[in-house]
Amino acid sequence: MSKRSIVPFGPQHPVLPEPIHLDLVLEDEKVVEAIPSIGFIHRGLEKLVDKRNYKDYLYVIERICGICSFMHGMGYAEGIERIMDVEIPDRAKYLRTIWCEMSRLHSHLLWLGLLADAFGFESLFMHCWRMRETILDMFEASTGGRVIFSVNKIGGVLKDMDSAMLKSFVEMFDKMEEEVKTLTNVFLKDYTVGSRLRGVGILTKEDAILNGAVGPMMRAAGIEQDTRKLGYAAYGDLDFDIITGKDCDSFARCEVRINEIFQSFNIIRQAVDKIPQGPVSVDVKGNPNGEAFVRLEQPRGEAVFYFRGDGTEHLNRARVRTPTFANIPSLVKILEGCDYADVPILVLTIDPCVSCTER
Amino acid sequence: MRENYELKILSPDQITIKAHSLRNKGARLSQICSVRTKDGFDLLYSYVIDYTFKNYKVSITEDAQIESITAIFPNAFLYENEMSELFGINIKYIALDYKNKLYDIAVETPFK
Amino acid sequence: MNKYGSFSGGILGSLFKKPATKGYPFVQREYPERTRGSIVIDIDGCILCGLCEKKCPSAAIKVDRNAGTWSIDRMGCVQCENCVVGCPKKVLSTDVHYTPPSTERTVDTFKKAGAEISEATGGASMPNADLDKCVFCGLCAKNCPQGALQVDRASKSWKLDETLCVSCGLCVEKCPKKCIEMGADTTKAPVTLPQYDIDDLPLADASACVYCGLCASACPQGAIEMDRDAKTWVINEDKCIHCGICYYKCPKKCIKMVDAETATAQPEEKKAEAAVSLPKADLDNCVFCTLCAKNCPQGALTVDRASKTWKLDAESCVSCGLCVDKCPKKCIDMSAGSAAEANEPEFKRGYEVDATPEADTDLCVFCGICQKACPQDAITVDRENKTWVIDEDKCIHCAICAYKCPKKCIDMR
Repeated sequence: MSKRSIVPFGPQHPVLPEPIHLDLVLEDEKVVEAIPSIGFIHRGLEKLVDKRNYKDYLYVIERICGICSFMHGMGYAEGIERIMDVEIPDRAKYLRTIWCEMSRLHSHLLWLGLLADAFGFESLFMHCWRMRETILDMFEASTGGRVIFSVNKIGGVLKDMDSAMLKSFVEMFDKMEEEVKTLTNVFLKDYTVGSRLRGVGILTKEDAILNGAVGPMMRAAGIEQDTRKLGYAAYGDLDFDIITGKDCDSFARCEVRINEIFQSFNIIRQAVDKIPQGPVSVDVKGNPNGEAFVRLEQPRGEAVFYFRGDGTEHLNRARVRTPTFANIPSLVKILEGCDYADVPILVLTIDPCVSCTER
Repeated sequence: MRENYELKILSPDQITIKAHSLRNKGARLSQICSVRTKDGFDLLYSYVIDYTFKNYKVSITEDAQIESITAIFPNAFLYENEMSELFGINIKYIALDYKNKLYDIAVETPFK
Repeated sequence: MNKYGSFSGGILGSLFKKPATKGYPFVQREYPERTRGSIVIDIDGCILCGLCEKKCPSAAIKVDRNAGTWSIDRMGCVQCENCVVGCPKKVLSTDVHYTPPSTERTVDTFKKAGAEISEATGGASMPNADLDKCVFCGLCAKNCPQGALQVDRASKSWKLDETLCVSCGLCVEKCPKKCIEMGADTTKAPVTLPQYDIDDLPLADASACVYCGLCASACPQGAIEMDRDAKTWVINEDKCIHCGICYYKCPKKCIKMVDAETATAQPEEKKAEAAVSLPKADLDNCVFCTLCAKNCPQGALTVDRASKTWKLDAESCVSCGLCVDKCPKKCIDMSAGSAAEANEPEFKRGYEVDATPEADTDLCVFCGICQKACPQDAITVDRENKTWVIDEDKCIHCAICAYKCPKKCIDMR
């Protein structure tokens, strides 16, 4: 047996936008074990729930993450609406769906850029992020924020998009889809990209279930499960397939995310076609009393929200189980037995969002 | 459309038994969380089998000790460490026990 | 499938395209209309009510009523627009331009011109209710951000605490009867203000006093000495500051403000025989709404809706009679044992205890009065779609809706 050594990875590392630390136990160049540690940026946002009025807490929970901030706010709003038995107008459901899919687009494009950057493909990284910038501009035009949208409200949404705006968005997406296609072809067909991704970081179907993987991690392992199929917001009225991969490796995860980008374009087009007229919010009176679970499909996978209120203006407990929190055990699993040089890419393939994880 | 899920009550000694039977059915551990109640904690175990979302609520007293399910679902270690660190719940046999070093926090058991 | 140089087209194309970036700072960015850059305030319209300060999730806004200033910590502001949405006067708005970066925290303070708002109320108008029209529904008090209004249905009183009132006008907007006006006439005495001279002392009427001790606990000076067992009530003349709080607090209204001579001339108060009676609920009429338990100063009542129980802890009860006053069904009786306190229930129910209201939609005009009257928000009336829905889980069967209905189209079934 060769000698074992421990190499610390992170919390500061060129590939990591956020701090996570891994203790890598190496045998020569092979990783035999990885021990994750998080906790560098724990902010205790869940605790703030008993300091803030439940209607104002929405603005706190949005700030859990900068990428899926819309979905955190939406999950909170849906949970409270469920406890208080509020039915929101149909138009608000469609608007939420459109913003959700735009979040997914910008998250996946950001991730593609980071992946390109991780294997040193700088110009590809720049092009991905240029594309993402257009989506951020759309967000700014429709909600007023580029990163934190503050557009959700218990009982609907705060801002409406008129048909002219929706039409211009669809036109922009049509144009963008062509550009994204040429871009993603590089990921799917280029020899150098394939050599870094194919056959690396295999997470089998059994391991994915056992380690509780969610989202693209799980679907790349061939498990057909997408929380959107539960039909929350307007997803029940829209037609889309679940995208799965078959090779269970890093390339499959990349492929699943790329296909989801085109799926999102498709869903947005359908939603814009079907969006009904009407109000975008209802008034909510009283305080929440009861408990509710809500599941949403965020760009990184299934998020579980749990809220409990006791009839006062402060909730008892707000809990967010973010997708990255569920994917860390899978990361540990795929790191076992990989090459040391592949570690940065494997860490990226779970699309880690450490701010989400620690809340 | 809102998701229909089930929420059942379990006693503390049924946690591991239930986890075993769910693992045999091919369930995935979706999350574990705890809620502070007046005289103890409510633990909520959530599992997913295909699209069914099963939840189990376990009410324990403040000083009760419960058994870890990391031997059955290895991904439980993060949730259990989080609970014991933020809420001060006493959990034995966690496979990877961070011993209150998971989060870098100034206050001991802030959610208690 | 694998190929080399798949991105060469993209790279070559970039050589001939204009840069995707802007030449900042020479080329400024044009912001879309909705951009949340920074918060601006029209300080002249501001009434310094402080709602924005309460709503701000990052505590960046500070409102100082006394100095008449509104200030915002620009670096602390998270641009969530919660203050803009919540402003009752709509004087806050968002500007598309961001706060410029700086090495120090920028705090912008706006001073309201010419408004040295002080205790003299500076001419700020206060709400005033037209008591002839008022139905004492309590909506104004529920919506007051400062808790400055007190509305009591039972005693038909509407009281404004002028020191707390911030003149935001929310009560005027919320009033379903539109009987509140922001009149500048604040000299008018509140409805139940006692008329007494500045150095009058309180004196308890021994025949009515139940020795509940609410006056003694309310006294800021500890000037009242009350002994429940010995049935004595003594006022310490030296300590009393003539504030009259005891007068307000007395649930039996047995305290009067009299001049010092009368007060001291009275011999030590002693009630001959303590015919103290205890409240008793008529469980046939009781809807277990828990209002009595919530209002009990001693916490002597335990009411459980689920198991339909009403329990009185006779040892803690001070026989103050507040529960009788507060009961919306008038089903609590304190008359047992003492004729003086007889409080005959006037309201008899003609329906089963768990009957739920149901509107006859043929007669209903969807005016929404029942919805507003419902203490539990259990009724939803939609005028446009002509629907009337009751949430049976929330309904406490109090029948206030049936009582209030102008068309008498609600039936308890």
